[in-house]
Amino acid sequence: MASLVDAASALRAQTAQAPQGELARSALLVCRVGGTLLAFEADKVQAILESRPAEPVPHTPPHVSGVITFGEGALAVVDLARFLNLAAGAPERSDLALERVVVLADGGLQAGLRCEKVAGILEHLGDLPAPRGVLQGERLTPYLVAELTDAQGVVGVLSAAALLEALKVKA
Amino acid sequence: MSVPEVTVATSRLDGVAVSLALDGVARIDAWDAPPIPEGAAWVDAARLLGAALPLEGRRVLGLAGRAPLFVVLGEAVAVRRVPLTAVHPLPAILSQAGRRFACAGLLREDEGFSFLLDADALRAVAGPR
Repeated sequence: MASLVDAASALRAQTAQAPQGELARSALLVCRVGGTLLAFEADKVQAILESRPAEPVPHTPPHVSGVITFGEGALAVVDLARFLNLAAGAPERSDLALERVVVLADGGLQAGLRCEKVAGILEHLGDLPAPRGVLQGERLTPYLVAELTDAQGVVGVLSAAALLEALKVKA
Repeated sequence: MSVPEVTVATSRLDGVAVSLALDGVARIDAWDAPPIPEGAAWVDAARLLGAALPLEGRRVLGLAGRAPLFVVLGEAVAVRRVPLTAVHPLPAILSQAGRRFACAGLLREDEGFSFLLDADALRAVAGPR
């Protein structure tokens, strides 16, 4: 577990130090969510936690698992597959030990995204390719900013800012 | 340097733990002994959380202040002092949900959290007996 966190930190540092004039380098954390490979920019990922039960919060939609302790404070945890309506296509979740909570933060918002597993870190040189329509889903496409292909298959890159804004529970 | 502390009353309602800071608390009584005075402002914390629980057997917290307020909690109420550092804001994505049940923040417990209710917000939703 610690090695993934360390790797994410190292890649964040690399991204920050990329010299000007060279091709943009994107470091992406790839996760499996509802059987789909999704990725987030590594510099928006604060931590990767082992999954654990959350304290349910009244008056929240079903995709909000609840709150857990994180550092000195509290973290809202969201079932990302449920929010993106990807759960129907997910394989049987036979190995819950692999389940992780990816702590995503951007623009003053933060959430823990429950994923089936963290698949690894993907580095991409150059601009991220726009979505080609391979990944579909009414709830998924509004947050999709790029699609890449790696050895594991098609990876959808999500906008952390747009996703976190959409996760805000309305009164 | 000692950490400032706050006195809270904590109770469980339908599996959810709620806490209230006890500034100006008047009393904690059984639901029907003595009864909430006619016309006094009161609120059923369980209903606020979305649970339907019978009132009988539960405890009532009487809060003094600008206007007395009676809050019906669960069957057991624990009163204790906790360090102020145990109080945390609700995560920003949940702040609007918190307003729906007068939740001002979270109180870190040994296991998990309890939801810290705000007396002023409770007064705003309380009705007359």
